[in-house]
Amino acid sequence: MKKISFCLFILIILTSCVAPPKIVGDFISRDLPQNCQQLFLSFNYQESANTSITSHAFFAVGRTDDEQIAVCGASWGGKLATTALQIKSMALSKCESMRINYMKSNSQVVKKCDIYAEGNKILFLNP
Amino acid sequence: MKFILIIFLALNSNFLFSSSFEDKILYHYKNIELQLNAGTYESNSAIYNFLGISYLNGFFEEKYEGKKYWAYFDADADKACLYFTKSYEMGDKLGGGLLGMLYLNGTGCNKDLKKAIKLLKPVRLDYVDTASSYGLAIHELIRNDESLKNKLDIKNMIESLEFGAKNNQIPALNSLYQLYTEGKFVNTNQKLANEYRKKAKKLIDEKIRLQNAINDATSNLQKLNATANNQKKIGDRKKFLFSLGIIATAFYFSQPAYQNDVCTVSCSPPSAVDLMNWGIL
Repeated sequence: MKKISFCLFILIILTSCVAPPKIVGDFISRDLPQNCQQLFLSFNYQESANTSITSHAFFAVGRTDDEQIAVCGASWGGKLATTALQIKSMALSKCESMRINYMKSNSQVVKKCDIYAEGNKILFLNP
Repeated sequence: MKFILIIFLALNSNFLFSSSFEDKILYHYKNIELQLNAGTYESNSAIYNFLGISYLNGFFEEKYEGKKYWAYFDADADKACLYFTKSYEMGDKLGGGLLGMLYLNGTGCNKDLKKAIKLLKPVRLDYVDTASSYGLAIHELIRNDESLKNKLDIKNMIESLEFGAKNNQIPALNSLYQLYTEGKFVNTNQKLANEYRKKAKKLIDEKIRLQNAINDATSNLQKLNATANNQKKIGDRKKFLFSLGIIATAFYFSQPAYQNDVCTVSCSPPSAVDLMNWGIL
């Protein structure tokens, strides 16, 4: 009985930790396009973002000339098996890949991808 | 042994048997083409147009879940001409227009301006490309042989070129600049000509900037993938060392000495008392 209660407790803890803080949620709902919001709020990204002691999570974006976010990429991984630079590079790589696709499809220039957030910490958002 | 083999195959089936989405697209359309040529695929003008455009570009384009994929292969303009001809023979206007563009440029089909004009005329204002091409074909023909000037419709030529220019077709803008500067077939209007030239230059600059950005992104992608792969090796080493640590710890604590809490002497591994008795501590 104790074991079942413990498992339930862990499950509740885990499932309650897959959403960003409200201020971040509000900010990204204004700042990111729909597909990037979905990626940012995805279970895997948020799970890693909320366990920053054990995981790396990076989110990269590319902007058009009028500073609108057009493309994005995210990557995450456990700290025991990955390095921060690896995850950062993978997030940027996915973003650059999407950038190429976007520019070929829309004939519109998108500027170089940059890191937008580390976990749920948006790099240029003041707390 | 069989069990191990099954587990190995199950774990690696994705790696062993999967191919990229681009490979699947390539296989799918090459297979359709084979069936079309063998007469086992129900032919229609749309598939001929698609194949023709793909052979002209050198890639099959497929949209899947909101994302575009390109499966590259060697371009073959002769095949493009063949497929557009088949589409045109089936009565497809777009197929005719595309074929007309090939006759205009002499790509895949032998250059034939009169044929190009005949094919482009029915669709000259249906598509931006065909409008521009129709105007260009007439312009090129009358520049080479001014005696045809009265037989061809100059008004239609200007209308088509203007339609193309309005939709950012650079060849149409260049052609209009030439027409209004030279004043051979229309009245000279240098101001208008310069506007067309300015717009063409702007569009060319944008195209160059876009191409540079695509090249920059491709180069970034390669560098980032190389960094990620190098870092992955470090990560794998960390993972390996951590796994070794886990195994060693598990082994250490599985020893009899640690299953008996009170072992102080003659323990395996040796206890502090053992080490003192042996004179090591």
